[in-house]
Amino acid sequence: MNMNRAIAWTLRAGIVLGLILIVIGEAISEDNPFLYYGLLVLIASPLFAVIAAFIGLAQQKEWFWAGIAGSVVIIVVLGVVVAML
Amino acid sequence: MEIIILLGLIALGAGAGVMGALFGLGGGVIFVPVLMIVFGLAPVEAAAISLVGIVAGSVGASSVFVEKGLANVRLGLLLEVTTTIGAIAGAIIAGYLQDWILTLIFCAVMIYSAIRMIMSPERVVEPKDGEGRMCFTYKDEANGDDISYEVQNVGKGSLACVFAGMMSSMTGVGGGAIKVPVMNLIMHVPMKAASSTSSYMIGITAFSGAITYFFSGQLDLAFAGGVAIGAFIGAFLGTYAARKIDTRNLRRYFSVVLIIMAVLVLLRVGGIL
Repeated sequence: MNMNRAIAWTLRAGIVLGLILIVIGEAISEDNPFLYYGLLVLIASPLFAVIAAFIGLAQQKEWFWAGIAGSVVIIVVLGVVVAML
Repeated sequence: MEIIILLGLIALGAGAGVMGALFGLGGGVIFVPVLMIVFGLAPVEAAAISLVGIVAGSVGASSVFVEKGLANVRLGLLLEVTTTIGAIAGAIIAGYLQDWILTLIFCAVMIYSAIRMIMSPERVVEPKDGEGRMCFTYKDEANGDDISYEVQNVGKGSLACVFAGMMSSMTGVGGGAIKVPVMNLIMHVPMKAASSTSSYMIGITAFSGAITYFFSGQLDLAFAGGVAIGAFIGAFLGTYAARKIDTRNLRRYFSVVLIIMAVLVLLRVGGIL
């Protein structure tokens, strides 16, 4: 699969699954597992899309760009870890 | 939650989603004051929900822009690295500078960019010899043309994104307002590609903050869910409009939005909003 399409489908899967869970959650009550996991899936989608970009670029042997994508993953994950400490 | 509140949150999310998809702006400058003033939330709650709305709008819009080739994933990732470095530097420097100085600098940059975008015509450099590392192509659905461009001044643009990241973390306003002009005016990326790329980037930037708030338990799930639904609807409408709109008009509208944003930021810092 083409890299752009793989990223697009990763994002689409995240938003569709996330929104289905959120809509069910909003219909049930204020705080429930549907809302929790729906929001978690939605929020995590951009990170999964960057990982998809990294895999796609590495498969195409575009090492410069794969390195950039890998750096973004590392920086973002490190930033979250530091913020949560 | 009362249905009227849920509908209000969806409407708010939809407005910001359209802005994100059309102009590559996150909409935090609208989200935060509206959530505080209209919905009576505390600043931290408003900021957390705002980030979720930005992620939802960005994911919804990018899923279309990336597939259509409008969002430049490679350039977006490159600039994301420098923006994040700037954001970290900004968080350190912010403690040593007065808020009003930062805000004035930020607003001056936004107004200057807006004027330059209105006054100067768009300059896109076509690739000379085909397949360079910085040569890209997308299809403009407004007229059916294939637009090829070579990204210029990568060093200067990356440095400017360090500044965008610094301003973003120091003022709390998303970097899209600076990144889009940087890509368009300095790096000569066509406006549609610049705003779509920014739309893709703001989701990655907002992810870190949103996930931190989420795990720390500071996120109101029901409110965030309402905003996320709206942001997706807005992004859906915005991506359709963004693909069909004429580039010159997109640039003009973006400039107007930048000036409005600068005024809103000044009002917020002045305690009026």
